[in-house]
Amino acid sequence: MAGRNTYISQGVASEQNLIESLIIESLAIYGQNVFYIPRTQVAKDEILGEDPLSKFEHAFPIEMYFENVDNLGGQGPFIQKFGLFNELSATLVVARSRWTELVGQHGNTFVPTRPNEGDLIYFPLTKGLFEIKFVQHQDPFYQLGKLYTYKMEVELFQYASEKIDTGVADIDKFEELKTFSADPAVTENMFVDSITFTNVGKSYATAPLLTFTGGTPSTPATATCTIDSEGKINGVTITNVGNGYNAVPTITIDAPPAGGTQAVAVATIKLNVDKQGGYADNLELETERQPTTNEKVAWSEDNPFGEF
Amino acid sequence: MLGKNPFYHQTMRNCIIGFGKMFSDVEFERLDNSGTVQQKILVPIAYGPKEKWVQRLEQDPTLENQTYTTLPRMSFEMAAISYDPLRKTNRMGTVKINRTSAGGGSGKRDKVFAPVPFNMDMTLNCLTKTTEDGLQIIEQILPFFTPEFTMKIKNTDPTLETETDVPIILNSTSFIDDYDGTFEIRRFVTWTLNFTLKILLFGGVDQTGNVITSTFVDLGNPDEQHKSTGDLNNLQVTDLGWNITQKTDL
Repeated sequence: MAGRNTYISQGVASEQNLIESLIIESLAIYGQNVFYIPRTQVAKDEILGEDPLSKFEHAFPIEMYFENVDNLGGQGPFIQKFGLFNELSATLVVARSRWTELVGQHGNTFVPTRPNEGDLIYFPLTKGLFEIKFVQHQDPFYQLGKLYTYKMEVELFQYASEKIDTGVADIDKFEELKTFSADPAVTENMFVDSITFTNVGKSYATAPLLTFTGGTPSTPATATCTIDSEGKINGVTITNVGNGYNAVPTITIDAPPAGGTQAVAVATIKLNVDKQGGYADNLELETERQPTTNEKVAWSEDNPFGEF
Repeated sequence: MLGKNPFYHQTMRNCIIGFGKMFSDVEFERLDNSGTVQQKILVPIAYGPKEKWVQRLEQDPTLENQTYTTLPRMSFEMAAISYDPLRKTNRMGTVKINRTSAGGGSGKRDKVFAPVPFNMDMTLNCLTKTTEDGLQIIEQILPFFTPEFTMKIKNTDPTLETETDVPIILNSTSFIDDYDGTFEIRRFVTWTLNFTLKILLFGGVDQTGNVITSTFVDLGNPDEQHKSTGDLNNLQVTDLGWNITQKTDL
């Protein structure tokens, strides 16, 4: 019975390490710099098996090789009954050890030992935000008895108002792109987005109280802060972003004991209603006027349940 | 023949706008595990059929919109129009409106034949990323249709100074969730709601008739001959046996 040659080992660690090093070097030479963005689950629905509130708060730079040498795959932009869609896909290869070193060890992925389906890849060159659809773990198949790479099928991300706050401006911009920035119809729906200290104060004995005034909110915002050993404010947490602000509220911070310096902070507010510029006609439908009479299209519900 | 005098009352256009307007303020909330509202999302809606170049330029002007799409979103479109024989009325019935000079009008009488009943089928589509988002949207829409929900639309043509009830009937609701298949197949949760709008279409307006400003009632012997001369406002009656001639200004 024929069998493999017992004098040639396929699993010598030194040879495996050599192959792996060559692969890592090749991927570094021929690959592209991308950001790996793990998904953070917030409120997973165990019945429906989904998490609409998923957020993305970390971005790890790492090199990956695009197998699509000519262009990205997919049919590109096309028109559907829901407007403009952009279908682009790619196959990315990443070295296992590099992924573990640069991403996995931080423990931000749901499964910490491998790239996760549902995580994102940002490709700065095309400014494309991709979602990992599938991770192939045995392609190529056990060269010298070991696996060295992950191969990931990625497609452009379907953005559904997930919070993206990675600290990388180009990535975080995706959250802003799909929010109307200046829509007078919804200016009443603002919430406190951030608090910036222009003066951190001095000699506070205890963390001072922050009070929000103005802006006529339906739900006032609340925040707490922390102080360091010198009594300076070194951290702030918005415990309730509030709702219904129509103007930026003023933040009043309690005064420190005599001889201290009072801290000063300002807030920024943000629309609490996500809208999607470019596609949405909500405002236009509400305000459409007749070309002939310049009157609003009269469409009322005086008798909504009347018989006809 | 049919196109002798062009007319366009914008009835169907207004119905399209009005239909979309009904769903232009649908919002839903996303709650965390403690029940606290974390996001309040207004569902974007747009009329589906549009020029491709308009969509490209408006939705991706800088070519930097590198996502597949943004969700949720709704679209609606007109699917069909058909005659509704159940609401057929006398085809010779007319609506007449006098534009009297005293009222600042043209002094003419507008006349339009009775409106013709048509069924206008509309489709409302809802695309979400998750089942939960879709359920929240649809559950806010369905209870209004029993299965009809009547809206009142004001006819925009000055001739047709009337308001028309437009019952909107929910015919069917279907749901597709592409959750199965290979990993590369994208999941969409698509709801499709089919409606029928019971609309009335008016024909062209005849504005050539004169306004009747006075009426004359002759009371007397109908066998007697009579004649009248001059214009109606300065009627000269030659009495050939008439008993009474009564003029009434309108």
